[in-house]
Amino acid sequence: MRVGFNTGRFCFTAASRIVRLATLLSLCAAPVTAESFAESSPVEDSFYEIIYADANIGASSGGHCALKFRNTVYHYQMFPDGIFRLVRDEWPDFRRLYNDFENRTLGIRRVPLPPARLRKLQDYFALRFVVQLRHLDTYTALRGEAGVLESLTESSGPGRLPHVTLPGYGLFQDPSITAGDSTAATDRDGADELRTQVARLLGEDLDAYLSTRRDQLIDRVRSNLERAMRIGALSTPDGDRADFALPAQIDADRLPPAPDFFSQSLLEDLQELAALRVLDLAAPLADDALFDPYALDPPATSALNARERQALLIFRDNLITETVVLLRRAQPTPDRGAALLLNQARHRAITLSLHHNRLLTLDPFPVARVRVTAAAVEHDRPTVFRLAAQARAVSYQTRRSVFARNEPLSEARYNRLESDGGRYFEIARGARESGRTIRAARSPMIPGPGLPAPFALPAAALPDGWSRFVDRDAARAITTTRATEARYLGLLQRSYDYQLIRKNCVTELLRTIAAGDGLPDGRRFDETFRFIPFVAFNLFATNDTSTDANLTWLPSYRKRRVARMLEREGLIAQPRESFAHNSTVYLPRRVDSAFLLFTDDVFWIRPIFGLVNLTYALGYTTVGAATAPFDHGTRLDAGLRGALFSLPELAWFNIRKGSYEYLEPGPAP
Amino acid sequence: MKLDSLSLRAPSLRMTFQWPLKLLMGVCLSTSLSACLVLTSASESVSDALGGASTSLESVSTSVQSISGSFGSSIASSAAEEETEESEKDESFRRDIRNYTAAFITSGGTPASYERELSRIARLHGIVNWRTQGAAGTFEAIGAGLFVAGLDRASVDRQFRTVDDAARRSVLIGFDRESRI
Repeated sequence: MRVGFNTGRFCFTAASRIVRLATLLSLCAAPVTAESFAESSPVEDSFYEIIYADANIGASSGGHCALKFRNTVYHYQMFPDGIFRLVRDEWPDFRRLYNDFENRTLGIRRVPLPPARLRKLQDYFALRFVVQLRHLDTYTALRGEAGVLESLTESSGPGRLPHVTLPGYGLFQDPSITAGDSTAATDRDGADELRTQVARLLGEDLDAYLSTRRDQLIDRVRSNLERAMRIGALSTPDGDRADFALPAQIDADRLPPAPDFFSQSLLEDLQELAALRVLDLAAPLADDALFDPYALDPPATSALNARERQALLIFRDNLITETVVLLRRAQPTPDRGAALLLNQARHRAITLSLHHNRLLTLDPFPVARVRVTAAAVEHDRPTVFRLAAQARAVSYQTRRSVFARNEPLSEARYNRLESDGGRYFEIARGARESGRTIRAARSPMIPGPGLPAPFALPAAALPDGWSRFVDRDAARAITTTRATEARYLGLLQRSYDYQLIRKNCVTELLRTIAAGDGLPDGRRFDETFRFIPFVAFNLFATNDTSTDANLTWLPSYRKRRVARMLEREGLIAQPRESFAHNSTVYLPRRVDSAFLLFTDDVFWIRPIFGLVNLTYALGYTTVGAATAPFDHGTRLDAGLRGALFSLPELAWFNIRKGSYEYLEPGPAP
Repeated sequence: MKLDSLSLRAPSLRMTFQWPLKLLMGVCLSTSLSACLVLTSASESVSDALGGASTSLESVSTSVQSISGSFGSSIASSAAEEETEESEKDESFRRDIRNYTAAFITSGGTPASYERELSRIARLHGIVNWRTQGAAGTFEAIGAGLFVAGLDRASVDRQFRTVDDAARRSVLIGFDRESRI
């Protein structure tokens, strides 16, 4: 069977494993510090956990299920792009979101499994995740291909060199700009020092090396552009790209051949050209690329101590070594340009940190992020200040723990300084300055991709006939690529599809566990009612649920707080905390709908509470109808939803539990 | 622990009474309301949605909860817990590399595509320089993946003998360790 990706240049078949092994050899040009794998778990630790999240208003209102391997949680979620994904989260993130912010009680059931089967199950989930990643990346690559073609053709013209937007190049200013302040001078000193060190370690004339390497890269860029020029002419009768075989269907268990588009190689080669340019001309860091998170803190707490300075010095030296290792590699390396850009930027950031004796970090925020509007920040500025204080505490704690270890700073740990320092800077700046939006993203955040900048192609890289291609054939190449992109997205949406009963977050999780041979002995996956989270959760129960020793409940955030109050104040706290508008641990939110009484911690009187809630919600709806012209119908919406979610309470069933916009940090329950 | 067992204190009659109700309401809810939709942030999943297969790279939020939820996993934990978490993260990275390598050997592809994806996976774990420092055993994981793919040790040893010795040793260590499991 031919499974290779036939581009005319590389093609591997399943029959030749040794040939494929040889393809990996190009990796091994650098020494590594081998660390040991963790030993296999003893039998008593050999288990996974199945998690049930209670119902609540909002997403997954009927409940949700997930699978937990120690600190890693897998679950299925539907995304706005119509793709139903296997999602991987860290347990603290998952718990905080569902258990605290969404205020759902979590049921956690331990499922013992022999070590060999547990490992197989973990591998199966990891494989599904990696395969899904490849499918999504293929779509991203197709989108990028069309985008690069458009960018190249739109920027081409008489007397103008085409340009593309390069991820990571925005970490640096245009090398021709000369800034005169002392920071810029220190930055330039750092860049010069890096250049000198690299030249020394490289052991050859750096100018000659850079010149040769540039020529090679320009040849590769030209060759990539020539590939682009053939796209339109090679389209299939259906109008698809001939150099990308659209699969008939998606197999979620099998890694598909990787795409090999001209734009991927082009961007990688241009990134490397950009990185060499930065190295050669000692381009200064861009003003907005460097964060000074601790600028406003007193020097006594923010200044680098001797241990921190020493760790940063060693890490900076390692960055130089890695830069040289990357430069020495003879084979083309896809991520070399991005790594060279980042290594240089980090080297500068550390040099400036040492100069100012304060930890400066690069802007780590990725392209894919959430941006909280300036209006939302303005509306709740006191909360944003509290969040800034929280972020400050987290970043200092990270600093302490990262530098406390008696071993050299690893990249992953340095990246924690960047992520947490960057987050603190972003929130504190948003809190202080009016009119600012605030970016939010989860760790790890790696600086670079979120700071793109235009890069003009060298004139020598343009192949013969480029202008003719731009004028005559480029439009067809773009149309063909966009058509293939749309078809591939459709294929992904059909394959990673969501069906309310047959294929939802619960059924898919159970199917994946069953396919990975992870169901408890004697249990099998049948579809009767298994689409309901609560029922699916009980599939993993022992026969007698009342003595289910493997079951733990994590009460929701509000329940935990109220329980503590009852212990402290006695029963007098109960009526107060039952009223949404009177509670000391809950602030009413319209997204939670209009209601008066919490019903999740009462049972026998729940229908009475439900009747009160229904009456209140109907009254609220009436007021909402009158005020709709003035409040865009938000009260009306909250009232109607309040009435809807009060109805189940009349039959002893609770959905609504309230949720939180902001929570003080605290230990996990 | 007292708090953890809150829900278990309920009388068994109540549990018996609740079960059919939950079933009934579960059916209703699952068919009417539940859609397992992503409304709030969840680490790499949202990044994939926005950066991977969506028409928008940036989503706009009108709630500060997005900020609040973005540093969920950074909240205080003890040094010992942190060390455990870090070692689990390393293990997760190696598992991804091992599975990816095995799957790649089976499916085929270009050297560039192998490295491109390896680099992409490493970035998900906060690592750019996966060849050298902070790589948490990348080459051992590659060796383990080669074993999982069914290659024999002699051919791995032979093929890697022509390249860097330290990398070859790491690959073989990973290969051997995997073969003993």
